[in-house]
Amino acid sequence: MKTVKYEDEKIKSRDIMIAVPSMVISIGVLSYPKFLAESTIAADGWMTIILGGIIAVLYTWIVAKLAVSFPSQSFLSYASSLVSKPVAICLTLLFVSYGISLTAFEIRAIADISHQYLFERTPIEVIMLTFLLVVVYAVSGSRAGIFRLNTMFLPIIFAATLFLVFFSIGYMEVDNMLPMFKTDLQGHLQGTMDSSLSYTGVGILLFYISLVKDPKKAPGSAALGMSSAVIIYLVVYLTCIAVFGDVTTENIRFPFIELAKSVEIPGGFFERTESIFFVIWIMAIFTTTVMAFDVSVMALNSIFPNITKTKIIFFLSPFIFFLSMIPKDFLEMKTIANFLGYFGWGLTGTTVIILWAIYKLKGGKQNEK
Amino acid sequence: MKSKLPCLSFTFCLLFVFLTGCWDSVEVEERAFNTGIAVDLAEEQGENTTYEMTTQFVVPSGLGTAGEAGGGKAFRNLQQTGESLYDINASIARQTSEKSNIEHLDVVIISKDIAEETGLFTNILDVFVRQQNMRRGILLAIGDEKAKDILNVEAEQEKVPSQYVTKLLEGNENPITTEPVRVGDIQEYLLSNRSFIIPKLSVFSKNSINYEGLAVFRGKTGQMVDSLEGEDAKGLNMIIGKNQQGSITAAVDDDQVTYSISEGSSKIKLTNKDKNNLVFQVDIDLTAQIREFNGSLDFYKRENMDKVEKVLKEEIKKIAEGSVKKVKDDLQVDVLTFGNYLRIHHYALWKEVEKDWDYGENYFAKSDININVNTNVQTPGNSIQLTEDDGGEG
Repeated sequence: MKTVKYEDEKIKSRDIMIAVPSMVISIGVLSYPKFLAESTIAADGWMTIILGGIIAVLYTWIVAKLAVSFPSQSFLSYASSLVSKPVAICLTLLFVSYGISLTAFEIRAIADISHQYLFERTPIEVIMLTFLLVVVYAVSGSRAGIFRLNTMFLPIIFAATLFLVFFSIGYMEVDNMLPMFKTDLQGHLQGTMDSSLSYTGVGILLFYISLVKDPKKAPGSAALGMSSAVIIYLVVYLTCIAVFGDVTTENIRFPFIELAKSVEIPGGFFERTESIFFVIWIMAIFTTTVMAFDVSVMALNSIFPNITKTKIIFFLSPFIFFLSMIPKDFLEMKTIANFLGYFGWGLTGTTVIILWAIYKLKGGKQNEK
Repeated sequence: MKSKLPCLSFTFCLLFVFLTGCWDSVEVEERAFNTGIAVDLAEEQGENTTYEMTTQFVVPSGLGTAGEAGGGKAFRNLQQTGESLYDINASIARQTSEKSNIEHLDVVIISKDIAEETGLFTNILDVFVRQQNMRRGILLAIGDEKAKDILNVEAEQEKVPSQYVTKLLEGNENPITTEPVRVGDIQEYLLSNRSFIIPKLSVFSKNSINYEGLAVFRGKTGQMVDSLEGEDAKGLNMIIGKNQQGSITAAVDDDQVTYSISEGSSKIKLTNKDKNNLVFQVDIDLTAQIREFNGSLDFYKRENMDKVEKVLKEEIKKIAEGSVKKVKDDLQVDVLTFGNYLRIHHYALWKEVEKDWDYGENYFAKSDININVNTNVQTPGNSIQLTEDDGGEG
């Protein structure tokens, strides 16, 4: 297979800034207003999104900070130096399993949604396979290429979202946003939990930061990237509540898709706006899937440096395909989504805490020159 | 290169499979666009409720192009009966040569008989919010008699009846009409047990449809209880502060005067918070002009203008109180948005009364509503009087 060769496989911290929201904004953005509306009253969820967002931004910053303390070192090598090689290999394998299950989940989820809204009669397996093949193609190319793809897609995703919000202004009702500050503490806690769970995938930073040319700026860039994702989540949530009201949002499976379906662009010649937005959401989910897969490949490659990248990909792809066929229905998908949310936070969280603690105990001198 | 040949040819074969298009591809010529649906009760009832569904398809050749008019009818209506709407749609598909496409559905008309029966209205609505090809923006209307008759009205200016209905529902700004009601809105009302109104249409003549009034639904049961027409509908709009623009006719010293209201607003206040005797105060603020006057008054005199304003004020108050009486005392259904006002501004109180708002204990029916009108008649129009004021009366 012929791939474009870039000058080097290095990226800038600006690419990290774009990679974080590209990773975070995925399937969750379509459905999370529903879960947030369940636990909060009227538009009170904005506080929990911001609270969850601040936690997520801090967390991103900490993860990135840890990774840049070891510039140009792979996760495996700095983890080995801190917690011995076997433990580091175990951690890496856990990240691999997380990456693979996330890839499989995203593939299945996008196939489910496309099957529901776009291709009623196309078998779901065919949609999954087609999507997987495109993902495989992206991953087998240059890693820097993935970051360039992100840079190209993310502005389109942001612009389309804002465009949708702009055209829903006519459907918004102030009544739906009121009354304010009526949610009890439990609702806020539940909501904060729900919203922080939707910001997953920060774990990629542990691996990708080793590619960054100017690591000093990386934590700030990553945090900035995360904040942009938080802002998009906030805007989407508020739009859904303003248009549908909290009770209806609670009862719609994918509020963001329904939003695109209810908006009509004035003029009448363009009735079905959602077809355009589908393309854009698929792009958003594509970038997430590609990065999740790529990180797994990168992590496996660090354990088995002698096996080529393409071999790893071809070995993993059928496995991912079968994994994504396991869930029986949407309820099982929901369980898996929750599990992946906790798994992602738990794994990255524990790893970062352990590594930070040991790094500090050892005096943090390894790499400070 | 040679070694790669089998691999490449295999890839190309795969590409043929994937690039030919998906299973769902249907050419646009083979699609029949469904723009309107009417649901009636079938003449013959089976064990369960049997519906008769009429779907209207656009016939593109009848529409013609911008340059030349098309020949023949631009629509056709197909009917089937059955117990589930989705099922009926499948039966209708057996009559068409094309594939039915529901994505451009604009309007659903449900007959009054169905709306007045317990539970049927909500059963019908379910398919329109559940099915994935449905948009939440589909307009709803209630047909006074047979809903299917409305889809048969051939107006001169609109080739397709469902388009006529859509424009009628969307473009009417008149004090007895309401904003277009969409399927998505109804889901919101039903979920929060809020009572609501839906436009009611009837066939006026062979080629025109009449926007007759507003059908009133109880949110708790999703059942139509009555309809508001004429003055009652006007009063409702005055109170909720929407669609107030329009004409009001009253009499100044036995001379008929017609005002047109150019802008207005209304404000609800809660003056007594005892839940068994809630008292609301509604302030209606209107700006009007005189359009027609059969008497002769000198409007350059302040007292005459004051008199005209006072007459309007009293007339509006009478209309609004009339609809309060009908809605609150007779129907006991809160379509006047007082419940929503409580939810927004008195949330704690609302939580107490929510479960028994306009059903059960019915705190709404127990409440009192005071109407207070402020009017401002800005101009008497272009001329002062048509016939000379003889000074005798007046």
